[in-house]
Amino acid sequence: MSRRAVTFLCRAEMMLRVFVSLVILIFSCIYPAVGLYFHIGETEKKCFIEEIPDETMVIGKYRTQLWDKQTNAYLPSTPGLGMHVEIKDPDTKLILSRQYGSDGRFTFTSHTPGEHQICLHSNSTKMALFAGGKLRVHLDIQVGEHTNNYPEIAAKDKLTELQLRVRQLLDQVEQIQKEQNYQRYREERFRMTSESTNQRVLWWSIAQTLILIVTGIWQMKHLKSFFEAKKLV
Amino acid sequence: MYGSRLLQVFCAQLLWVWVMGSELTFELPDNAKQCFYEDIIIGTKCTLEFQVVTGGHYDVDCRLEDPDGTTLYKEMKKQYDSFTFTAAKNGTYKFCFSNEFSTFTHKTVYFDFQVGDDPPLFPNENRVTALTQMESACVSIHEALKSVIDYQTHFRLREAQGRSRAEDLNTRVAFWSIGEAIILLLVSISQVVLLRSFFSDKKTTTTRVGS
Repeated sequence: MSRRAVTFLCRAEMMLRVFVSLVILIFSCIYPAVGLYFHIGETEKKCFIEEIPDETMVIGKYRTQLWDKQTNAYLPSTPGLGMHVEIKDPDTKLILSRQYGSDGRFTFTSHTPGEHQICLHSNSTKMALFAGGKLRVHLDIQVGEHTNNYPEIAAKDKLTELQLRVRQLLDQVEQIQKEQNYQRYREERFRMTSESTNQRVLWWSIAQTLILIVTGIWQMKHLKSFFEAKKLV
Repeated sequence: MYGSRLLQVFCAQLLWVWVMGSELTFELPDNAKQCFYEDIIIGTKCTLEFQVVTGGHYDVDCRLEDPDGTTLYKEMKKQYDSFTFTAAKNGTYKFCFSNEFSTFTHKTVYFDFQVGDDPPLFPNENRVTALTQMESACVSIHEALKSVIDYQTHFRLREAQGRSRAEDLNTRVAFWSIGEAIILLLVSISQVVLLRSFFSDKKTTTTRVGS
């Protein structure tokens, strides 16, 4: 092929890439790419557990769709319908309790390591809205280094591709370190529980043996004095 | 030739929006069933991994169906499993976890559903050129670290399972020890009282065991 044709095609390819990237960027801003979905009833509360080390960021994105009886399909978005999001830390203290619209994004950073509970329920009080049945909820929860938006970081800090890759590796290693630290803390708790069980088994066995001996002796003494009183011995 | 290349580029760019992974841990009450759905494009390699973290005998029923309702994977009372498949059809795939066989224990189930590959770091224009040695080293380190994180997650889940069993054992030991001590006392006292009651009724029929 002639050189002109080759250059033209390369340029066309690049333009196509740029165009498609822009389309995808716009598309993903309007409809955040949340793949997994499930159904939720009206008064139903769905809870998810995230066991995370401390100082870890968690970003949750959801999108709701309501079943429309008229069109027999799920509507793309429902104004007026909101979801209430409640997040509890490992000590069951509420750290976030907010109402969001039908599409929402919630984020929190853990301050204590452990099991955090993320609960969602719809705020709909109008029974008519759910008369068709269920609400479809698309949910995506990202934890730790998955929350980092690398294109944004690259643009902000003006990093080359190699620097960005190294930054991603640094974030991953940091997450591994935090998880190892948390694992050490959990192992300590496990060890304390096992030692407590060991102590309990030991002391309660001794106590029960003592109770057995003492009641045996008491029984004999009591019966002896009883029979002596009854002049049977 | 260039036309097909252009088409490939177009499809590759479109695909990266729809390739994602989700991992969630949720509570499954007794006699309950929880289903999750995902729209998958034909030809995508997907992996479903699940593990029961707490509850009862640490087992759950799992079922994966394709858009036509054909069961791709079905296992009853499994504690941990991993299933990889390539999507043969376009459409909504459904997977369900069921605790319907259990009467009173609720379970905590972890699952990780990976669809396709991770999105590229950023839509880079120079993807046609091969990666430099540094970049490919970074890519392999990234893959290795991803598997480290994956192993850590599974270790954490097993440790949570072990810890939940140990805490359960601890409370059961305390409960039953106190219970047994009380039963012991009650039985010994009631033995004596019962024995006394035998002798107080038959006062007239007792004979003196004389010397």
